[in-house]
Amino acid sequence: MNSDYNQRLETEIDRELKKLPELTAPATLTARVMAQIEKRSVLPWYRQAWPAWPKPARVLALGAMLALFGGICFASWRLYHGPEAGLAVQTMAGWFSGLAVIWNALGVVAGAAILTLKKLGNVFLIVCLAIVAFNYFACVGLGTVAVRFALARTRRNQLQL
Amino acid sequence: MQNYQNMVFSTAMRLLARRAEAEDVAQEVFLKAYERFDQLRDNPSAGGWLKTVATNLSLNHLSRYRSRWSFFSELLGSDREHDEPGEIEFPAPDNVEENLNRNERCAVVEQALQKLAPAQRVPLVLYHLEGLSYEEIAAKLDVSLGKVKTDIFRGREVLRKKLQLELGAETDVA
Repeated sequence: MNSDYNQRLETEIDRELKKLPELTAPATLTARVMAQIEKRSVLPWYRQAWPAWPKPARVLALGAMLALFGGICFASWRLYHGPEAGLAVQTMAGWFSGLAVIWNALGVVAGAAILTLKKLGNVFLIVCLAIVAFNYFACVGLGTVAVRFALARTRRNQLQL
Repeated sequence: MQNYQNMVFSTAMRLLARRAEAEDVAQEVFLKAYERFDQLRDNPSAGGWLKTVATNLSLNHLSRYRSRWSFFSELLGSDREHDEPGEIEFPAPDNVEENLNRNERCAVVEQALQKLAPAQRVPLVLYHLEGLSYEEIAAKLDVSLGKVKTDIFRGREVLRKKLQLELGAETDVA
Protein backbone atom coordinates (compact mmCIF):
# COMPACT_ATOMS: atom_id res chain seq x y z
CA MET A 1 0.00 0.00 0.00
CA ASN A 2 1.22 3.49 -0.86
CA SER A 3 2.09 5.30 2.36
CA ASP A 4 1.31 8.73 0.93
CA TYR A 5 -2.18 7.61 -0.06
CA ASN A 6 -2.63 5.99 3.35
CA GLN A 7 -1.59 9.17 5.07
CA ARG A 8 -4.00 11.30 3.04
CA LEU A 9 -6.79 8.78 3.63
CA GLU A 10 -6.14 8.78 7.38
CA THR A 11 -6.08 12.58 7.51
CA GLU A 12 -9.31 12.94 5.54
CA ILE A 13 -11.22 10.33 7.52
CA ASP A 14 -9.86 11.75 10.76
CA ARG A 15 -11.09 15.21 9.76
CA GLU A 16 -14.55 13.88 8.84
CA LEU A 17 -14.92 11.89 12.05
CA LYS A 18 -13.58 14.61 14.33
CA LYS A 19 -16.19 17.00 12.92
CA LEU A 20 -19.01 14.77 14.17
CA PRO A 21 -20.94 16.36 17.01
CA GLU A 22 -22.07 14.36 20.00
CA LEU A 23 -25.29 12.46 19.49
CA THR A 24 -28.24 13.43 21.62
CA ALA A 25 -28.91 10.91 24.35
CA PRO A 26 -32.51 9.70 24.52
CA ALA A 27 -34.70 11.77 26.78
CA THR A 28 -35.60 8.61 28.69
CA LEU A 29 -32.01 7.90 29.77
CA THR A 30 -32.06 10.03 32.92
CA ALA A 31 -35.42 8.60 33.97
CA ARG A 32 -34.16 5.04 33.39
CA VAL A 33 -31.02 5.62 35.46
CA MET A 34 -32.96 7.25 38.29
CA ALA A 35 -35.50 4.40 38.29
CA GLN A 36 -32.70 1.84 38.46
CA ILE A 37 -31.02 3.71 41.34
CA GLU A 38 -34.35 3.84 43.15
CA LYS A 39 -34.86 0.12 42.57
CA ARG A 40 -31.40 -0.73 43.86
CA SER A 41 -31.64 1.49 46.90
CA VAL A 42 -34.61 -0.45 48.30
CA LEU A 43 -32.71 -3.74 48.11
CA PRO A 44 -31.18 -5.03 51.38
CA TRP A 45 -27.43 -4.36 51.63
CA TYR A 46 -26.44 -7.99 51.05
CA ARG A 47 -28.23 -8.02 47.68
CA GLN A 48 -26.47 -4.87 46.50
CA ALA A 49 -23.11 -4.67 44.73
CA TRP A 50 -20.01 -5.33 46.87
CA PRO A 51 -18.86 -1.67 47.00
CA ALA A 52 -22.27 -0.67 48.37
CA TRP A 53 -21.99 -3.02 51.39
CA PRO A 54 -21.37 -1.44 54.83
CA LYS A 55 -17.65 -1.38 55.69
CA PRO A 56 -17.81 -3.87 58.62
CA ALA A 57 -19.71 -6.33 56.40
CA ARG A 58 -17.11 -5.99 53.65
CA VAL A 59 -14.25 -6.59 56.12
CA LEU A 60 -16.06 -9.56 57.64
CA ALA A 61 -16.87 -11.10 54.24
CA LEU A 62 -13.29 -10.60 53.08
CA GLY A 63 -11.98 -12.26 56.26
CA ALA A 64 -14.40 -15.18 55.81
CA MET A 65 -13.37 -15.66 52.18
CA LEU A 66 -9.68 -15.60 53.07
CA ALA A 67 -10.24 -18.07 55.93
CA LEU A 68 -12.18 -20.38 53.61
CA PHE A 69 -9.49 -20.21 50.95
CA GLY A 70 -6.74 -20.85 53.53
CA GLY A 71 -8.75 -23.72 55.01
CA ILE A 72 -9.19 -25.38 51.62
CA CYS A 73 -5.47 -24.99 50.84
CA PHE A 74 -4.47 -26.42 54.24
CA ALA A 75 -6.93 -29.32 54.04
CA SER A 76 -5.72 -30.19 50.52
CA TRP A 77 -2.11 -30.13 51.66
CA ARG A 78 -2.85 -32.35 54.69
CA LEU A 79 -4.86 -34.79 52.60
CA TYR A 80 -2.13 -35.07 49.99
CA HIS A 81 0.77 -35.54 52.43
CA GLY A 82 -0.98 -37.39 55.23
CA PRO A 83 -1.24 -41.20 55.64
CA GLU A 84 -4.92 -40.97 54.76
CA ALA A 85 -4.05 -40.05 51.16
CA GLY A 86 -3.55 -43.66 49.96
CA LEU A 87 -6.76 -44.78 51.62
CA ALA A 88 -8.66 -41.88 50.05
CA VAL A 89 -7.32 -42.74 46.58
CA GLN A 90 -8.40 -46.39 47.05
CA THR A 91 -11.85 -45.32 48.20
CA MET A 92 -12.27 -43.04 45.20
CA ALA A 93 -11.07 -45.75 42.81
CA GLY A 94 -13.80 -47.98 44.29
CA TRP A 95 -16.42 -45.29 43.54
CA PHE A 96 -15.43 -45.21 39.87
CA SER A 97 -14.95 -48.96 39.36
CA GLY A 98 -18.49 -49.17 37.99
CA LEU A 99 -17.42 -46.93 35.10
CA ALA A 100 -15.02 -49.59 33.78
CA VAL A 101 -17.96 -51.95 33.24
CA ILE A 102 -19.88 -49.23 31.39
CA TRP A 103 -16.78 -48.46 29.27
CA ASN A 104 -16.44 -52.12 28.28
CA ALA A 105 -20.12 -52.34 27.40
CA LEU A 106 -19.84 -49.19 25.26
CA GLY A 107 -16.84 -50.73 23.46
CA VAL A 108 -18.85 -53.86 22.61
CA VAL A 109 -21.80 -51.78 21.34
CA ALA A 110 -19.49 -49.59 19.22
CA GLY A 111 -17.79 -52.71 17.74
CA ALA A 112 -21.16 -54.20 16.85
CA ALA A 113 -22.28 -50.91 15.27
CA ILE A 114 -19.13 -50.69 13.12
CA LEU A 115 -19.60 -54.29 11.98
CA THR A 116 -23.25 -53.60 11.09
CA LEU A 117 -22.32 -50.48 9.11
CA LYS A 118 -19.70 -52.41 7.17
CA LYS A 119 -22.33 -54.98 6.23
CA LEU A 120 -24.80 -52.29 5.13
CA GLY A 121 -22.32 -50.66 2.75
CA ASN A 122 -21.34 -47.15 1.70
CA VAL A 123 -24.62 -46.26 0.01
CA PHE A 124 -26.51 -46.58 3.28
CA LEU A 125 -23.95 -44.36 5.02
CA ILE A 126 -24.18 -41.70 2.31
CA VAL A 127 -27.98 -41.69 2.51
CA CYS A 128 -27.81 -41.32 6.31
CA LEU A 129 -25.35 -38.45 6.02
CA ALA A 130 -27.54 -36.76 3.42
CA ILE A 131 -30.56 -37.03 5.74
CA VAL A 132 -28.57 -35.55 8.62
CA ALA A 133 -27.28 -32.71 6.43
CA PHE A 134 -30.79 -32.01 5.11
CA ASN A 135 -32.17 -31.86 8.66
CA TYR A 136 -29.33 -29.59 9.76
CA PHE A 137 -29.89 -27.10 6.95
CA ALA A 138 -33.66 -27.28 7.43
CA CYS A 139 -33.17 -26.33 11.10
CA VAL A 140 -30.85 -23.45 10.18
CA GLY A 141 -33.29 -22.24 7.54
CA LEU A 142 -36.27 -22.39 9.87
CA GLY A 143 -34.25 -20.66 12.59
CA THR A 144 -33.31 -17.89 10.18
CA VAL A 145 -36.90 -17.41 9.09
CA ALA A 146 -38.00 -17.34 12.74
CA VAL A 147 -35.36 -14.71 13.64
CA ARG A 148 -36.23 -12.63 10.58
CA PHE A 149 -39.90 -12.80 11.49
CA ALA A 150 -39.21 -11.89 15.13
CA LEU A 151 -36.96 -8.94 14.13
CA ALA A 152 -39.54 -7.69 11.65
CA ARG A 153 -42.24 -7.82 14.30
CA THR A 154 -40.05 -6.03 16.85
CA ARG A 155 -39.25 -3.33 14.34
CA ARG A 156 -42.92 -2.96 13.41
CA ASN A 157 -43.81 -2.62 17.09
CA GLN A 158 -41.08 0.00 17.61
CA LEU A 159 -42.33 2.00 14.64
CA GLN A 160 -45.88 1.83 15.94
CA LEU A 161 -44.70 3.13 19.34
CA MET B 1 -25.30 13.44 34.40
CA GLN B 2 -26.88 16.03 32.07
CA ASN B 3 -23.37 17.29 31.20
CA TYR B 4 -22.04 13.92 30.17
CA GLN B 5 -25.01 11.93 28.89
CA ASN B 6 -24.53 12.90 25.24
CA MET B 7 -20.84 12.07 25.39
CA VAL B 8 -21.46 8.68 27.02
CA PHE B 9 -24.31 7.83 24.67
CA SER B 10 -22.28 8.89 21.61
CA THR B 11 -19.35 6.72 22.66
CA ALA B 12 -21.57 3.67 23.12
CA MET B 13 -23.63 4.34 20.01
CA ARG B 14 -20.60 4.67 17.74
CA LEU B 15 -19.11 1.42 19.01
CA LEU B 16 -22.32 -0.61 19.13
CA ALA B 17 -24.28 1.05 16.31
CA ARG B 18 -27.55 0.02 17.94
CA ARG B 19 -29.62 2.53 19.81
CA ALA B 20 -31.21 0.19 22.35
CA GLU B 21 -27.89 -1.43 23.25
CA ALA B 22 -26.15 1.95 23.47
CA GLU B 23 -28.87 3.15 25.83
CA ASP B 24 -28.40 0.06 28.03
CA VAL B 25 -24.65 0.63 28.16
CA ALA B 26 -25.08 4.35 28.92
CA GLN B 27 -27.41 3.42 31.77
CA GLU B 28 -24.86 0.97 33.14
CA VAL B 29 -22.11 3.62 32.93
CA PHE B 30 -24.13 6.09 34.99
CA LEU B 31 -25.03 3.41 37.54
CA LYS B 32 -21.32 2.68 37.96
CA ALA B 33 -20.68 6.40 38.28
CA TYR B 34 -23.37 6.62 40.94
CA GLU B 35 -21.60 3.89 42.95
CA ARG B 36 -18.44 6.06 42.88
CA PHE B 37 -20.22 9.37 43.18
CA ASP B 38 -18.10 10.51 46.14
CA GLN B 39 -14.88 10.08 44.16
CA LEU B 40 -16.22 11.55 40.93
CA ARG B 41 -18.24 14.51 42.23
CA ASP B 42 -15.41 17.06 42.29
CA ASN B 43 -13.02 15.18 40.08
CA PRO B 44 -11.99 17.11 36.94
CA SER B 45 -11.23 13.83 35.14
CA ALA B 46 -14.78 12.49 35.63
CA GLY B 47 -15.49 12.95 31.91
CA GLY B 48 -12.46 10.85 30.97
CA TRP B 49 -13.47 8.18 33.48
CA LEU B 50 -16.99 8.04 32.06
CA LYS B 51 -15.68 7.82 28.49
CA THR B 52 -13.28 5.00 29.41
CA VAL B 53 -16.01 3.07 31.23
CA ALA B 54 -18.42 3.59 28.31
CA THR B 55 -15.79 2.28 25.88
CA ASN B 56 -14.95 -0.75 28.00
CA LEU B 57 -18.57 -1.65 28.68
CA SER B 58 -19.40 -1.32 24.98
CA LEU B 59 -16.52 -3.62 24.04
CA ASN B 60 -17.57 -6.10 26.73
CA HIS B 61 -21.11 -5.97 25.42
CA LEU B 62 -19.92 -6.62 21.88
CA SER B 63 -17.80 -9.61 22.84
CA ARG B 64 -20.40 -11.05 25.23
CA TYR B 65 -23.64 -10.75 23.30
CA ARG B 66 -22.81 -10.30 19.65
CA SER B 67 -20.90 -13.54 19.17
CA ARG B 68 -24.05 -15.51 19.99
CA TRP B 69 -25.90 -13.83 17.18
CA SER B 70 -23.11 -13.35 14.68
CA PHE B 71 -24.15 -16.44 12.72
CA PHE B 72 -27.70 -15.25 12.30
CA SER B 73 -26.70 -11.63 11.74
CA GLU B 74 -24.43 -12.74 8.92
CA LEU B 75 -27.33 -14.63 7.36
CA LEU B 76 -29.53 -11.58 7.90
CA GLY B 77 -26.98 -9.12 6.56
CA SER B 78 -29.59 -7.07 4.78
CA ASP B 79 -31.55 -6.47 8.00
CA ARG B 80 -28.57 -4.83 9.61
CA GLU B 81 -28.99 -1.73 7.49
CA HIS B 82 -32.58 -1.30 8.60
CA ASP B 83 -31.99 -1.65 12.33
CA GLU B 84 -31.60 2.03 13.02
CA PRO B 85 -33.44 3.81 10.26
CA GLY B 86 -32.83 7.53 10.46
CA GLU B 87 -32.72 7.64 14.23
CA ILE B 88 -29.56 9.70 14.53
CA GLU B 89 -30.23 12.94 16.31
CA PHE B 90 -27.85 15.84 16.59
CA PRO B 91 -28.21 18.76 18.98
CA ALA B 92 -30.23 21.54 17.42
CA PRO B 93 -27.95 24.15 15.84
CA ASP B 94 -28.15 27.80 16.86
CA ASN B 95 -28.61 28.93 13.28
CA VAL B 96 -30.53 26.34 11.36
CA GLU B 97 -29.91 27.68 7.87
CA GLU B 98 -26.18 28.12 8.23
CA ASN B 99 -25.72 24.72 9.78
CA LEU B 100 -28.03 22.77 7.54
CA ASN B 101 -25.35 21.54 5.14
CA ARG B 102 -22.97 20.77 7.96
CA ASN B 103 -25.61 18.78 9.82
CA GLU B 104 -26.60 16.90 6.70
CA ARG B 105 -22.98 16.02 6.08
CA CYS B 106 -22.57 14.88 9.70
CA ALA B 107 -25.67 12.71 9.40
CA VAL B 108 -24.26 11.11 6.26
CA VAL B 109 -20.90 10.44 7.96
CA GLU B 110 -22.66 9.06 11.04
CA GLN B 111 -24.84 6.75 8.95
CA ALA B 112 -21.85 5.56 6.94
CA LEU B 113 -19.92 4.88 10.13
CA GLN B 114 -22.76 2.94 11.69
CA LYS B 115 -23.26 0.82 8.61
CA LEU B 116 -19.66 -0.36 8.65
CA ALA B 117 -19.06 -3.96 9.67
CA PRO B 118 -18.29 -4.16 13.42
CA ALA B 119 -14.81 -5.55 12.68
CA GLN B 120 -14.01 -2.32 10.83
CA ARG B 121 -16.11 0.18 12.78
CA VAL B 122 -14.87 -0.67 16.26
CA PRO B 123 -11.11 -0.23 15.62
CA LEU B 124 -11.82 2.81 13.44
CA VAL B 125 -13.80 4.50 16.24
CA LEU B 126 -11.20 3.56 18.83
CA TYR B 127 -8.44 5.03 16.66
CA HIS B 128 -10.03 8.23 15.39
CA LEU B 129 -12.52 9.12 18.11
CA GLU B 130 -11.07 7.55 21.24
CA GLY B 131 -7.47 8.36 20.35
CA LEU B 132 -6.07 4.88 20.96
CA SER B 133 -2.93 3.71 19.17
CA TYR B 134 -2.89 0.63 16.92
CA GLU B 135 -1.09 -1.32 19.65
CA GLU B 136 -3.62 -0.33 22.31
CA ILE B 137 -6.50 -1.32 20.02
CA ALA B 138 -4.89 -4.69 19.29
CA ALA B 139 -4.49 -5.32 23.02
CA LYS B 140 -8.04 -4.19 23.82
CA LEU B 141 -9.65 -6.30 21.09
CA ASP B 142 -7.26 -9.20 21.56
CA VAL B 143 -6.35 -9.35 17.88
CA SER B 144 -3.08 -9.00 16.00
CA LEU B 145 -1.61 -5.63 15.13
CA GLY B 146 -1.77 -6.54 11.43
CA LYS B 147 -5.49 -7.24 11.63
CA VAL B 148 -6.14 -3.92 13.36
CA LYS B 149 -4.26 -2.03 10.64
CA THR B 150 -5.99 -3.93 7.85
CA ASP B 151 -9.46 -3.49 9.35
CA ILE B 152 -8.91 0.22 9.92
CA PHE B 153 -7.63 0.66 6.36
CA ARG B 154 -10.63 -1.22 4.94
CA GLY B 155 -13.01 0.79 7.11
CA ARG B 156 -11.47 4.04 5.89
CA GLU B 157 -11.74 2.86 2.30
CA VAL B 158 -15.43 2.03 2.73
CA LEU B 159 -16.03 5.44 4.32
CA ARG B 160 -14.07 7.19 1.58
CA LYS B 161 -16.21 5.55 -1.08
CA LYS B 162 -19.46 6.25 0.74
CA LEU B 163 -18.51 9.85 1.44
CA GLN B 164 -17.07 10.27 -2.06
CA LEU B 165 -13.86 11.78 -0.75
CA GLU B 166 -11.37 12.76 -3.44
CA LEU B 167 -7.83 11.73 -2.58
CA GLY B 168 -6.23 11.73 -5.97
CA ALA B 169 -5.62 8.73 -8.16
CA GLU B 170 -6.37 5.45 -6.45
CA THR B 171 -3.83 3.82 -8.71
CA ASP B 172 -1.24 5.11 -6.21
CA VAL B 173 -2.19 2.12 -4.13
CA ALA B 174 0.09 -0.76 -5.00
